[in-house]
Amino acid sequence: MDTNLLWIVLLPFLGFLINGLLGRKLGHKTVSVIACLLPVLSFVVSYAAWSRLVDGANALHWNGFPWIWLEGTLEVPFALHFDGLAAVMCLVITGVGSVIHLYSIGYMKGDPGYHRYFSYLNLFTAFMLLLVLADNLLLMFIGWEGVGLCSYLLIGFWYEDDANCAAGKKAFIVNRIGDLAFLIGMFVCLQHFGSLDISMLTSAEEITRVSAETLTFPWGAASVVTTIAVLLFIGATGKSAQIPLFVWLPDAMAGPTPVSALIHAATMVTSGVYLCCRLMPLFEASPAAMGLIAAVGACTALLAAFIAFTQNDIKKVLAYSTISQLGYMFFAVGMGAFSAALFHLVTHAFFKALLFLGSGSVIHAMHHEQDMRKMGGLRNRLPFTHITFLIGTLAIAGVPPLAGFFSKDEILFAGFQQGFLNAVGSAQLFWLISFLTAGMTAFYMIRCVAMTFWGESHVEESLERNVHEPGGWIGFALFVLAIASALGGFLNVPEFLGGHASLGHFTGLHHSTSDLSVDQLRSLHVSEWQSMLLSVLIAGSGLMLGIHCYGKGRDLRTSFNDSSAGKALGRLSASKFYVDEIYDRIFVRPFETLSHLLFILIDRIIIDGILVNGLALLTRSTGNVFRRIQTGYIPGYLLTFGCGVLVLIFILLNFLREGGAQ
Amino acid sequence: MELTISRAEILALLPAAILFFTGLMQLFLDLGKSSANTRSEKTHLAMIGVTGILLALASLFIQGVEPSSGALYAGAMTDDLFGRMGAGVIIITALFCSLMAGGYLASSGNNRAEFHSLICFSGGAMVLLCQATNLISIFVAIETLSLAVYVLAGYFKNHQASSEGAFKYFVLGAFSSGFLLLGMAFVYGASGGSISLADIAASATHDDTLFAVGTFLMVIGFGFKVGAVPFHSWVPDVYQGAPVLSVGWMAVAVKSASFFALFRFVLFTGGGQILAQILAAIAVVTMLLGNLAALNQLSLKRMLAYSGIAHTGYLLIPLVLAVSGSGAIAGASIPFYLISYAVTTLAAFGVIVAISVATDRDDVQDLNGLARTRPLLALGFTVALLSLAGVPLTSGFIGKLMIFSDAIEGGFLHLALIGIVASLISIYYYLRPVVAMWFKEPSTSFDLIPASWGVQFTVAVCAIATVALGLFPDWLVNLSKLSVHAILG
Repeated sequence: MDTNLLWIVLLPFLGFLINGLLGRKLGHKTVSVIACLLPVLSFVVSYAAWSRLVDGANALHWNGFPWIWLEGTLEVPFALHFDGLAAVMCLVITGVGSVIHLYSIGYMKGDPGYHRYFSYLNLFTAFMLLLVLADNLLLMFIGWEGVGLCSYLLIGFWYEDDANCAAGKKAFIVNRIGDLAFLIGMFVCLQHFGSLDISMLTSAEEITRVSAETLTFPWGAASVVTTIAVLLFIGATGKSAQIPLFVWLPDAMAGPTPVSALIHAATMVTSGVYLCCRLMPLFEASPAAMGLIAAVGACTALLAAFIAFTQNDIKKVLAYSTISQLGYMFFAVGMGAFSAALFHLVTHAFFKALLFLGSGSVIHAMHHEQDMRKMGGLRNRLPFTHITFLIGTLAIAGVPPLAGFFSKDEILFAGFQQGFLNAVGSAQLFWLISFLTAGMTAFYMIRCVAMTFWGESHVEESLERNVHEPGGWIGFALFVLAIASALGGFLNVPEFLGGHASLGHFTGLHHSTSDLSVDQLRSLHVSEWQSMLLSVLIAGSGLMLGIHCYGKGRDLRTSFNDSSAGKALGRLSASKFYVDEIYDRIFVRPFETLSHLLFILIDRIIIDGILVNGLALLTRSTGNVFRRIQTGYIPGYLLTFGCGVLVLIFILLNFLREGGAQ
Repeated sequence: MELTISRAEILALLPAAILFFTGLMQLFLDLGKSSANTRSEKTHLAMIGVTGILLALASLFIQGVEPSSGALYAGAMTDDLFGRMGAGVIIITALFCSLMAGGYLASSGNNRAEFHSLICFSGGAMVLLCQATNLISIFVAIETLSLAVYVLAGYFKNHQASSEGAFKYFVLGAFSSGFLLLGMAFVYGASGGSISLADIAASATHDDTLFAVGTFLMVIGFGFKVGAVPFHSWVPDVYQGAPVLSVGWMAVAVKSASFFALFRFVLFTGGGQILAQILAAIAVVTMLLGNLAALNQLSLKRMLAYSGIAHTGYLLIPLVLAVSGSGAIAGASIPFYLISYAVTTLAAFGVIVAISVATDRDDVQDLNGLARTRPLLALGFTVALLSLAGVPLTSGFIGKLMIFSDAIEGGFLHLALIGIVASLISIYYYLRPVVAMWFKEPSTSFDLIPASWGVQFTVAVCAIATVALGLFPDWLVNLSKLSVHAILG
């Protein structure tokens, strides 16, 4: 029983309450102090809890209170659970979150919605922590929905602009589709496991018991475990922007840039990956679902990386990059390398937050210009931002020994192992895809750096004189995250490089190698070396190609234009595979037409016309009649009274006579 | 014949006796000072009133919470939980009315002892009415309270409307007393000459025409007091003309006492299916007419008058159930609903007292922008209106929920449906003052005298009680059930 766990969630929530209710009166300084201090405190509490785990304590647990309690059928406590996995997530959320809060002080300075912004951000932190700490799926779902809500509120933060509101709504609605699958998944869990407790859903005996059961669908039978795993994964594709529900994330860039860093890069979008790690035994019990996850992850990684090639908006590049990296994480999950997925989640939180904050620094300096074609040569004006952005780029590209190198290498090796050592045919293909994507990642990121910071300046002259390095908290945040991106990889150095894979062991996601013989271990290490060399090679070639193409200020499309195939590919990338348009034709427009029809027929004519206005007219006119009866004269009143009595007694007697006659 | 009075009999009479004594004290102490009008000169009246009423309230608890329900004074009255709950509602209402009376009367230049003591006198009579168990004591109690209330209605004798309302009330009241008395005579005859409710219940047969008509005539007598259609015509005029505080007193205390007595009567005697059908018809008409007529009222007092009629309609539903023999189902809702209605209505009338002290009017428009000038009053009034409309989280919702679900359980689905429709209609006019208070600009002439602390206290306590009962209704529901089951045995 550890009540401190509650404070991890409660502290940021307190910040939301204070700033949300009183923020308007408090003044910017007080708002900033409250908004930043409380997540930092939450970080301290998380750190204290984490250090207890490191000292060898078992998972901490707060029993909470009975929340939804229908004796015997549905018993859901409001309880929190803090194990290694939750600890890592909590530290990332509160750590990176605090840094981004501090960054926001500089970024949002002078915004009229200052307190509103910080209260939303605190609320988001609270919900995200609730999601991570929840002891059961339903409570996790509260956090899941809560972060979705905050994401919606913050994407549409500058709500005066219709486009921002539309982006917020799109994110919310697309997420709802995934949430529906999540909900149905929970129902199936409840029906077959009889509980939503995560400890129940991950216990080996329960899974063995349930995996014998099957469900019959119109298209055939499926095992219960696979059904649950697939449904929860569909929920995860919504929140974590995977095929087919990734379309909301690029639009979500309409929100303030620190929001993109916190919600749409470092934390919320990774909650799908967290869900898979949290329920690792359940997913592992379903090879079919694992195959699906690997396929979706690899394809998403490739597709998003390809689209990122031709994006000119600096935040859009990062958005597609995020989708692509999330695809990596799911690929790792599908390969059974949950530890690698979590590791990449952590390092990605560092370097993607760094990249977003760096882009925010650029955007801030450029007075909200986001088009990279109007940038260039900013290296001289923004040297510090340039250096940190470059560190982030090299980290995501997988250049040793930066953070991304270790985590991506582990994922690629997981694919390599499944595909070639265990000789799973489909895994070979997926490995190839993600291997290629690693090169593509390096390429589009160096393109982004080149277009923004290198080469000739395309900045308008009037603007250029004012471009200067934002100092203060913005610089501080970039500094901290640059350090984290550079060194974050050492959290989980693999064994063949002399490390202990400490993160994997700590979270209990790492598959032990202790049962392997010395020979087996040696041959495993040899293949790990091979895989690592390959991934360094592909990252290096991606970087070189990018520098070659963009180093001289050339645009890939102009060089591609020579060949018709290149032209077509470029157009396909720039048009984002027409996914938005296809969804629009298939889902949005028919739905809109139908709802417009129903609106006219049911709402306007039947409800408004007949029921509401018609009834209102009827009631009002009856009311007026009654009012007129009230004349104010006693004789009239006596008459009503007397007549009423007479009529009623007459009826009474009549009835009584009939009753007597029977 | 030897006359002995037991301890239980003294205790049973104690609350009413204290109230009567308090009223007398107020009259005596005010002798020779009737011309003085300011509040400070008359503080002693309120002090005595509040002290006496608190003592009466305390005397309810002397025997603990499980009073004996045996027949006292040769069957003239009883001292059961049901009666004590009724007495509790009345005494608490009297307490709040006394608290508000000083400031209200002083502002209109009529701060004399009569008002205070009439509240106590009629309060005492109502307590007796709640405890009465034979026809004679019922009639005496109801006439005593009526006379006091007639005077209260016409208390502002210089106001034409007040006098006119009182006169109408008196004439029609006398008329209805005639029906009540005739009904009692019929029942007396039909039951072979017994006046005690227990004896009547033992000897009455529902097929007997004389008994059915007698019961029905008695219901008419009570129906007049509670404003059931078609015996309601006095309500709007009297509510509009009479002093606001008297109206509040009538709306809460008279109605509660009458319903407690009527319900006790029908719980004892029943009435049969036919009478139940006719009462159901009355309930339907009362609910619909009350709510429909309230729709277009712009005067707050008139609106509350019709709203009061509508609530009478809802309260008739458990009565119908009791008459049809399902009293055990319907029982709990009557005490609960009346207590909830009491606190809610008192909160509403507290605000109207404040408004009418300030502006001498009671239009919905006078509330414009109240939330900005006096946010707490506006909040209290909003809570009260929402509770009257039956919005969840308020006691009004729980009360209506109990009544409607009882109706469905008792086989009167149509009553529940009509009641729900009527409640829906009512939301329209209950929200009009809410909109005026929160969303309209304050009118320029709006200059509210600070409400007296008595008013503020009443509004605050009653609004909090309304929400509290809405959130934690269990204990009161159980108490209500207990009280009704004690009667049914």
